[in-house]
Amino acid sequence: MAATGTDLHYLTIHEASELLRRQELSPVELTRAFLDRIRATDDELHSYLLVLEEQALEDARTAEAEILRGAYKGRMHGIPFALKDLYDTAGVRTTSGSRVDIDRVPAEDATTTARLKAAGGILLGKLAMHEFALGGPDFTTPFLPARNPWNTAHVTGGSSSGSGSAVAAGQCMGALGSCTGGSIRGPASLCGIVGLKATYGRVSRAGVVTLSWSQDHCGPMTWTVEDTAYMLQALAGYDPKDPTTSRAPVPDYSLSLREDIRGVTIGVPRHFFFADDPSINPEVLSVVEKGLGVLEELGASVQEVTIPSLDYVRAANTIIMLSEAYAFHEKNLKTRPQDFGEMVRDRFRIGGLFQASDYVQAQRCRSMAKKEFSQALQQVDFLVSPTMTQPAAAFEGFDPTGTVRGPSFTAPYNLTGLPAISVPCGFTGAGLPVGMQIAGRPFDEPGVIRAAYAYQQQARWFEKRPPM
Amino acid sequence: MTSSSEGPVSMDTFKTMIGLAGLGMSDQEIEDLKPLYDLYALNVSVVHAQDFGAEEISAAFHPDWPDQ
Repeated sequence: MAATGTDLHYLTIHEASELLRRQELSPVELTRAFLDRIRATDDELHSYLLVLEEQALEDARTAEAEILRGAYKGRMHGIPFALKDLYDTAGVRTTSGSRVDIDRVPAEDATTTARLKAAGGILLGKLAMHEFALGGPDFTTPFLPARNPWNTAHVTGGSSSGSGSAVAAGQCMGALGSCTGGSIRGPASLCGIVGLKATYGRVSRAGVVTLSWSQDHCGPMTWTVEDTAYMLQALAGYDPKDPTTSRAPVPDYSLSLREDIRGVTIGVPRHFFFADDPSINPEVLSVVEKGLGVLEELGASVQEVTIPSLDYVRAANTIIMLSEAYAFHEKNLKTRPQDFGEMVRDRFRIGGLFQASDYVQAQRCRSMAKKEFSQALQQVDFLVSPTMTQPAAAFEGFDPTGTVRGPSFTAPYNLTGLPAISVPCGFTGAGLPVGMQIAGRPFDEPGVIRAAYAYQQQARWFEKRPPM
Repeated sequence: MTSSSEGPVSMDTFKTMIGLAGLGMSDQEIEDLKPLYDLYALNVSVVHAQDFGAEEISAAFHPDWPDQ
């Protein structure tokens, strides 16, 4: 296994897996390159809460031996990855970014952890996150917040904050995030990477600490669309430990990596995503307009669609999320409130103040939204929008209530459970990344991946790396 | 009577709500939480403003849509 070098940390999973399969690169060398990269950059970025150096090197040696004896398992074999610190890891501390769970050591792996390991992935460590997958950077928790590799004075977005920064900075080849209102696509957009929230039920939630049972999704965050497809392949499928997972067959997602989207129709709910709203950044809209133009150049037809429920999906998403979160955390909130960070403690307490009628009415909103999105997706193949209303905010002067006040572009797909991906779409004048969101019909991850891949290959934003 | 400057519920009502929820918060904590509650309570107004007639609830979310 011959290939070595200082830039191994910038290989994609696609590139590295080819070298690994041909035995031109050792998983041990690759893993060492990432451990070196983490050492060189994480004092500044704070992406990792825990680095599993010895275990990772041991697993890499095992993968190397397997590959050398011809037992290559596929695209994830020998690939260094990392996990948001709410994915259970057997025998390894899993904190959810909170003092509440600071000594929690699960006995078993989450299903998703186990599936990535079974596919031959090398777990590098556990990643920073917003406490219990909610809120924003909170300096009252025990852990420093991750910083954005494109500009470390700026936040990464969240709640999968460390997943965003680690992938963008080349500190791992792929990471898992979790998403209840946008926590995969948000940091993916703000960190200039790809993030996919698959259809609710496509990826198991078993062994992943709950925020909101009915809206939580697990999914990959990577540098490119093809890498996301490879990770999803290892993750997707029915899990008897998660009763909400689907028994629908898992397709071969690599077959979607085609650059042809001629003839597809794209719907844009401009009344919501491009509204004249002071909380929506016009520079972001301008960047995504150009992205829509690229999709048209590729042969897609773009048309406007109307989805009236978009006006209240954010409210329904929030009420359901906080009500379910309160139910999950109630005991600890009452017995050891001091162990929560201020931001999450306040929000969880508010979840305990909603009434049953609020939760029921929010669920009726959800029912209506699902109907309207279903109708829209009978007219068009995909819905496209900006992923976020704003580029990454600066830490200085950060307003933790800012995300509460404006619209959410990601929450509609948590509420409806539809698959949605964020793909890099360009940069603001200040050099901060902007993401474009592509959503599709239930279980049409192949379509969403295909559209995102076609865009990526034409726009080629993946060729630009953060300045560090 | 709730004044408009107090938000959707008065401070006294808010303290009662906190007590009924059994959150065990100090008066200072309650006063500090009230502005954030007022912000989140806007969501309650939004969902109750919708008139769905006899629209069914989605009490449980099913991963496979009915028309799939």
